[in-house]
Amino acid sequence: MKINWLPFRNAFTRFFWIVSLMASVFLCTQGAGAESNPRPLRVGLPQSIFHMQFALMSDWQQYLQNRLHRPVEFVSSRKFGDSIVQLHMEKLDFAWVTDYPNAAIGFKVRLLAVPLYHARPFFTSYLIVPASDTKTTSLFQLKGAVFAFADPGSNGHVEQRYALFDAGEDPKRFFQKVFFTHAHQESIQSVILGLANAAEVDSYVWDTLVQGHPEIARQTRVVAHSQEYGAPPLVANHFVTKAEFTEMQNVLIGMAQDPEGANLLKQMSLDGFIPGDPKLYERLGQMKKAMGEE
Amino acid sequence: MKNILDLSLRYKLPLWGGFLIVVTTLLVSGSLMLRAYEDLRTDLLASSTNLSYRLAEVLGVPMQEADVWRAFEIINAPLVDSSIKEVLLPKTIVVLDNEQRVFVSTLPKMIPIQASLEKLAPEYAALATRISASQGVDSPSFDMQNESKIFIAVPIASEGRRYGTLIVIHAKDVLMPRFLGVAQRGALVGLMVLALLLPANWYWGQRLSRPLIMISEWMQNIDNGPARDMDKKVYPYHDELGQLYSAYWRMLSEQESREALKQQVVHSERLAAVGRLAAGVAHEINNPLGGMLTAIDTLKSYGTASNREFDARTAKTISLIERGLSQIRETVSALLVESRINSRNIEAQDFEDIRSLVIPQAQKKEIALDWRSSVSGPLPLQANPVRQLLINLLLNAIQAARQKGDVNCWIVASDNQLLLSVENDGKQMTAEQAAHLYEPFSPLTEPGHGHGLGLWITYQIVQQLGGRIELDRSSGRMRFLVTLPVSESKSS
Repeated sequence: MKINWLPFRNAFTRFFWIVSLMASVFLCTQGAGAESNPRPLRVGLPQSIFHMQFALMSDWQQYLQNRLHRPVEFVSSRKFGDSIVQLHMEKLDFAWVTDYPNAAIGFKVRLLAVPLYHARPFFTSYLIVPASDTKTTSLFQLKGAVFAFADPGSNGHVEQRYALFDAGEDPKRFFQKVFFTHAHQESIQSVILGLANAAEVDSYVWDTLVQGHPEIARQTRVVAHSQEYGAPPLVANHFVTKAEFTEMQNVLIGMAQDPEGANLLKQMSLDGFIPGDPKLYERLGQMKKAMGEE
Repeated sequence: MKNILDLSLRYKLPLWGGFLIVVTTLLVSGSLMLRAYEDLRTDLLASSTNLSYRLAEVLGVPMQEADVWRAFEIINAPLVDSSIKEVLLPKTIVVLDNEQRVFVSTLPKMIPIQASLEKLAPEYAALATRISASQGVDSPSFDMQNESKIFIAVPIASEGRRYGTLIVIHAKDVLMPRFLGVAQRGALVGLMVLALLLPANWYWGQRLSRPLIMISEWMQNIDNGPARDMDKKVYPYHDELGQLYSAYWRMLSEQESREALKQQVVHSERLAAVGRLAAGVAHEINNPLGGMLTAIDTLKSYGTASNREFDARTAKTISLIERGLSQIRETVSALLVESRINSRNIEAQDFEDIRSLVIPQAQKKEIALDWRSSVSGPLPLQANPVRQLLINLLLNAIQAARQKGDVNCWIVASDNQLLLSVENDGKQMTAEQAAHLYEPFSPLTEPGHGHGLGLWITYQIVQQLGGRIELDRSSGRMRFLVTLPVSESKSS
């Protein structure tokens, strides 16, 4: 339309107009695109939290998208450490990590939110044995056993090994064989099958699983509870803007107040999220340091 | 056993056939079942080796990473895979590391992690030895089996490094139900085959043995003559059995003709003996008889010559004796059948005379006499015996013919013989009567009809003339056939 009424007296002016027109069209589309189609936020989730609960993951993803008004992608990784690697490679904006202090090594992540379980930001680690094993009453009786951990990066792994270390045992030689199942549910399964003589499980996973599958409580026996440790938190990568950080944090913390969010939290068996404090994880760091792993 | 072998063919043939069918069916189905079992085992090994290689390939990475749980998930997957046929489903899968310790197994309670294979159970010791013998990266897979299990061992290697060994264990007892299923089907098919073949075999045996049994029964009763139910069509084929039948018929007819010949010989011998006896007796009687008759004659002559009349009583007695002696002489002379010397040859007129003689007799019974004669001129045969012979035969025929019946008399003269055929439609002779034919005082003679010497005399005449007399009963009529030789020498 513009071209029709503009005077095209010579080739130069014509060229000038066309170039400026194209430039303006280009800039406009760029600006509009940034407004309506923002970069998706990628959130890493360990399998240990949402083991095969794809419907719940999908619902939560939709909830976050609705609240944040931008696409959210969930990245589920089999091994706990995979999320850390992806954070490091800047493939993730946020991640729910199981070994928070470890995640900070070498690069900056910020504590975004800590889940509340039974209104407290703490989990414990359960030591479980098969129901047929009626003799074991403590970790120290399991010398020479086959032991299943969920992941080398899980807090329970640190807790149980520290308990051995603290008692003067060498955690590397105490068990005959140690293996990792990369999911607490599968650690339980390996104990039920007899693959492992014992395993450690997050109290959170155990408690929620037993509600849905009471037969698990019949087939296994919880021998001991570890000390409390900071619940696995959500962290933000270093390049996440302050606005994005605050927005995400507010949405997470606000879940408990909003019926839809509360429903999701109920399905996750959580009471909500709080901003959290790195101090919660100090003890984990100390334990690692004591064992010479940090 | 002997009793079984002595059984009738009726049972023996089908029994043997049935026995062979059952044995064949058992052998065939047995070998098929065995084959099925072997196939099943081969299938199992092939499918299991295939599975083992696939698993071993995937297990390289978890072994490398010492990821027990991942390895467990890999080896456990085939055991819960419902798409694998139940019989081919492994019972247990074990992964060993290079130290022959259990890395992971699908049966951790029985085969726990880190357990040493050779210390697990005695049955694994041989396997452990075999595995330690093949520790190379490119070692081939192998299979072993004991009473209850089949082991398949495959090396786990990746990029030139050996990480351990995968052992797939199958329980043999899963083969058995499968095999029994196959066997059951096989047995069912076998029974169906038997159900078809055994009745067919029974029918075949019966069919084959029936003619044999019949001929056997006939042979046993051969002395009693041919069986009543004999049917020449009972076996119309020309195989060995058919030949046996025709041989039987041949033998039977030979036996019959031999028997007939024998009877004929006996008959003529008897007649000859009777003839000799009769002639002897007649001569012995004839001599004193001639004397007695001469004496009577003399007595009568001398009695009249001296004019001394016999009183009435004596005369009556002498006459009585004379009549009696005359009757004896007649009978004896009839019995002797003396050939009277007569040089006259018979002529056609003689036959015409005979015809004229018998016609009144025939007319009395209203009998149609069919007379055919081909004799036209004189024949070199003595006239009297031939006349007597023909008259005897004709009178007998007329007597035997029915009222208003018919009698045929055919006379045929040829170059060297004269044929006389006399036939009537009278009632048939019994076998008893035929056996005593031509004998003097024959029982054929009905009371009041002659002295029963007619045929005897006829027979004697025929004998004297060197001819032959036969009775032909085949046409259902009584037919006497006399053949007399005609020769120049005899007539001279």
